[in-house]
Amino acid sequence: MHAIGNPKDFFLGVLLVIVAAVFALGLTKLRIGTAAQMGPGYFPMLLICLLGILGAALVVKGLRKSGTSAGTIDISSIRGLALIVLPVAFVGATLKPLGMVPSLGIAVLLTTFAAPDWTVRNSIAITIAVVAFCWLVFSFGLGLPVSAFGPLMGGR
Amino acid sequence: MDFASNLALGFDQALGNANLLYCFIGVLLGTAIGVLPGLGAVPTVAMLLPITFGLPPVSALIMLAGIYYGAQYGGSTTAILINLPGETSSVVTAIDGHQLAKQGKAGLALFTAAVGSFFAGTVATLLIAAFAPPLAGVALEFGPAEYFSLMILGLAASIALAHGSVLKSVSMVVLGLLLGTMGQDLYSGAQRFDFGLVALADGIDFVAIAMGIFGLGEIVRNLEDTAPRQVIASRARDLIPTWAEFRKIIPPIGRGTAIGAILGILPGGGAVLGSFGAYAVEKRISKSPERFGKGAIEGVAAPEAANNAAAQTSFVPMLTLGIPANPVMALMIGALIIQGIVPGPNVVTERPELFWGVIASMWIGNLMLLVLNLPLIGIWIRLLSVPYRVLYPAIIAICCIGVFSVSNNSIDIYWLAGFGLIGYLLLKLDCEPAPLLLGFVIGKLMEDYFRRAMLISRGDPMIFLERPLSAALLVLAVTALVIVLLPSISAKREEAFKEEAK
Repeated sequence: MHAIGNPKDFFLGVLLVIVAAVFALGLTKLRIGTAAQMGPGYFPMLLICLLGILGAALVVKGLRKSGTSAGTIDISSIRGLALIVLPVAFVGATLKPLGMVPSLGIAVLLTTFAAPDWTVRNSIAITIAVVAFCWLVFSFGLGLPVSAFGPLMGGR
Repeated sequence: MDFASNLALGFDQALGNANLLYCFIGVLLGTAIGVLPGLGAVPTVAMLLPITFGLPPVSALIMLAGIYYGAQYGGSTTAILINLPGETSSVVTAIDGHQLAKQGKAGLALFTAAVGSFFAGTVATLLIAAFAPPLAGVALEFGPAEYFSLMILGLAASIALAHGSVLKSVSMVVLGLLLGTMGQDLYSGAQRFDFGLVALADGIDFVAIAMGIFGLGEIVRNLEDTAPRQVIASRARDLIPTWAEFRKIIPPIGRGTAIGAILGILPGGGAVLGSFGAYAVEKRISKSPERFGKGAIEGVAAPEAANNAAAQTSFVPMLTLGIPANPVMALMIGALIIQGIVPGPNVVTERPELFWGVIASMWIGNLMLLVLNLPLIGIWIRLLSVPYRVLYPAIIAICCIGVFSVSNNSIDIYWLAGFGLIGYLLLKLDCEPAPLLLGFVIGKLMEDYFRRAMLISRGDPMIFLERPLSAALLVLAVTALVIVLLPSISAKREEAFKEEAK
């Protein structure tokens, strides 16, 4: 038996309390004002208080032992998650300097590894098809100002 | 202006300025993407949002509306043929639709869905044309206090209709509202919550949130689900039903339309409620309720009509009040705001061409769906068999470039990644992400009305209860939440959602 009755409620509560705390830190820079003449911080202040209370309530609810221990958190797909999220961040970092073809190409190639039925041939074919499609639609079709090969690749 | 001249203006708009073409492209793209397994209306609309930003507002909204019905219809096709509903509103269709498909009557089910949707769309369009302007007239009397209370009602409804724990949904709304306050303050121009980072100066782009949570988050979850899918092929010649079959689907379509149209106007997820309600009614009044779940055609006809009717009437609160009835409408509001239009009662009077153009295009879009889908069904079936390993890298790439194209800013791609992570986490923690998006979209507007109302009342919060209309709206909001929290109802609600999960 775990010490925590419902880990899902508990962790969500902890996360929300942390978010509330981070925003409360940001709130210190803002003028609160009065109820009649609200400053930029007044409405956020109310929300932060509310979020903190809700988060705390979830923590308490999660700690209490419930009859149905519904909800162990299953994080079996951490690999899949990383193979989706990190390539996206990679595009964010490299789209402008590298250009669309190399940036998107590497990212798409990485994401294909998340598939349960991965093969080298599929992976390369999918990457080529997707990059070609995106270039055709966004650069050629919609005129998005991203070069195929960026400054670091000798392009513009 | 009267009914006829309004509709004439609308058709004039919808048919001119290449809008007919945009409507067609929207419906076609919407169906093509919506039919892909695992992609419901919300990710489809989120993914295609950026391509409409270059268009004038009327064309953009017409195209988005087309994408929405297309996706809705495509989702039903997927539900019937491979029992993989892309979204909650087609879950009910999958129950009997897929059984019919297994019995070799996929054609009948698809035909029923198409005809039911068209009929419901036609009726709902007329209803909107008749009732939206008076509603907007009422809304013009609204002060800031009423608007604030109305938004509370909208949020309360979205909480009541979300899956699972009410406490979690409330937290999601508050989190969404808080994230919405990031960026510049409307009054003082102060930078809020930028934490000293330039990247946060403009707040978070809502397209990044929508795509991250609904696009990327879903992908990771779909990849976990490795259950084999079986496509049931259907030949086009099976599509046209016999007269006896046709007669059987007419009454359920009528009832479904009525139920969907009414429930769709309620803020907070009408399409889902509509299709569930319609299915329940059909089962109750049927002479042979035991056939339901084993391939009863009424079980396809009524919910399909209802979810289409509700999808259309949900435009009413969006266009007249600026309140999103579901996440798709939240996306539409976001698109309108990017176009420089603040949805609200003034839209009807100040931008009649926008309002009536969209309404007329709804009917045209539905007609296109019918004409397009019956002959093209073979192509959709082929799309259905596209393996997911090909689909998801394409979706990821489109999301990346799409989110970038909104303002040519690489930072938005980081947000996309971040919200993909958050979306996945929320799914894992059994949190419905829709209330978060709803809160985020209306956060700034809500704050604006709150501050204005409190300014009028000189800081006395009683203003929200002293004004009768505002008080009535708040009472409704509280009632909605109390009803969900009542033990007997919450047990039933659990049951309903469990049935849906099957």
